[in-house]
Amino acid sequence: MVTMSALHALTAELHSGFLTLAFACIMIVAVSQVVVRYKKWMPKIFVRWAIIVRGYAEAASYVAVVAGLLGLLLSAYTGMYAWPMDSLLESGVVRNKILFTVYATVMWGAVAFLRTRFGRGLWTCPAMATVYVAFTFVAYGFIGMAGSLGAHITQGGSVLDPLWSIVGFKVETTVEFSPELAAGIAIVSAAVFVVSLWLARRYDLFAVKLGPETCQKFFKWDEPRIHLDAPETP
Amino acid sequence: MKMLQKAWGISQFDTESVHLRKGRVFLVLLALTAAVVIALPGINGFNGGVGDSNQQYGCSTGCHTVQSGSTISLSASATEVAPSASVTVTVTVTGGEASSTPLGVQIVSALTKSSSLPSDAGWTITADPSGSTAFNYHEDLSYTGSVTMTWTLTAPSTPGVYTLYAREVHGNGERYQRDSAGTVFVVGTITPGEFAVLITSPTASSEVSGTINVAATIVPETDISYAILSVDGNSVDNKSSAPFTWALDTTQYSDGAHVIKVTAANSTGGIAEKEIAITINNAAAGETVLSWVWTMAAGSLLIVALLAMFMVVALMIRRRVTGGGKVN
Repeated sequence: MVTMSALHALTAELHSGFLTLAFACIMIVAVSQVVVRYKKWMPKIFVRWAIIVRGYAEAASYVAVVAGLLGLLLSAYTGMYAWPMDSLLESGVVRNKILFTVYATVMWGAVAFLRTRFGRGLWTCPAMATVYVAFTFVAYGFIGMAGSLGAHITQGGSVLDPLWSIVGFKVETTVEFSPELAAGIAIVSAAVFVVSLWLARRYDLFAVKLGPETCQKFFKWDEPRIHLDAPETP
Repeated sequence: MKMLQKAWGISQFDTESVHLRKGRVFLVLLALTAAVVIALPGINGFNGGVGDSNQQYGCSTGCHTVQSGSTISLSASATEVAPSASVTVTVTVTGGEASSTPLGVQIVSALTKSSSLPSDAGWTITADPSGSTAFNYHEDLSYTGSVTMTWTLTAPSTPGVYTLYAREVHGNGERYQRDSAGTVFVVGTITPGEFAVLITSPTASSEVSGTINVAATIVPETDISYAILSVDGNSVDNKSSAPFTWALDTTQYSDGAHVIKVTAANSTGGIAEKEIAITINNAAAGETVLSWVWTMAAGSLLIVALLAMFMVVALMIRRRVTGGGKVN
């Protein structure tokens, strides 16, 4: 009989691996896009590598984000049954781990949503690519924090402890907003969301498609495509 | 596609040259891998833990996870001592896999990777095996099958029950490690030789909630007839063998001040008891959980709102650059 804690360990490794791959691939694509955009100032060999690598990295990142997100949800599910919920919630470290895992899930969900909504064409729009990379960066930070707290629970410490010590984060102290602050954040967030939807409707942003044909003319950022054969000489 | 290639300004890919470059990259990676493999046997006893090379207690560059075949023990000049008294601790390691290679020995106050230095529990090292420094970690640079190291420490100034462990780490093919059994020190509070009970958890006057772990140490811990846990004078449970720990559900009691007492008796008729006052506050614990749930919900909402806002901002920037949405 496979225990829930064994399954939790398995799914935790699974999502960590996939999300690390996703993070690495997205960062590779971001760097490659910059290299290709500023190719005049880059060694030609870098540009060639960037063109080849970004195509594969972009496709791999999407698969890894979706798989990692599924792994994360599975990990949360198995984690809930691996230990009794009552004893789980008594520990400040566990509460913090659950909190950062939830934040990481929402952040990675946002990353998956952006990629699904705009396709690889999002890389042709620098502003959207910046949002995508920034969300990926923060999402990976949250998953790193959750992982570090997981190491505290199972191993009693983590390699990130020196960092926590520098920033003054005490892993045992539950991160909590006062109800007033939390309510304020929720209300402001809801207002920002509604205004964003209104603006999107007002300026017909729901129908926007991003791609070389809609962006490159202005931004000169092209799409990270997979090249199965060598591009022809221009 | 041709338009894109023009935009890239890149000449035709030469398949042969690409293969050549791939070959070079492969060779570089192969050389790097070989260098790492060759360097591995050189790893010594110290594994680069948190802190510095003299105060190892973590494993930032890789834990020693393979159980060593060595035997390690920790003995002390006294285990029932007065607060701030001097104690000599001797660690002996025999056997194991290290052979004329470095072997590191450390004394720690807990078998965790953080907050496990003796100083974290209130101990002060006054002399380590080198005789000239006061670190918790020391290496025998050429271990030949047996080593004994001695530390001199000052006991914590706060009375209570403390535990010290010894750990040896070494390389020589794998990252080996072996921990000793914990040596329990009773600091203050009792007269050496006296039959006594100490409550080690929770701490006196602490505020608790939910299910707590009540732990008691009985010295000497042999021939115990019974140990009774009672709350406010009402018996909760009794045990006749170690460990003398109980899970106490504080939600069964009202919030406020309560007294926990452990009474023990041994086979020679000796009776000892210890009581501490605690404050149960489950209402505050409930509020903490509620605030935590609020934090989770508010933070998640904030992330979604920021996503929506940044998406709109990015698309508005694009719309502005592309001239009022002419290109869509």
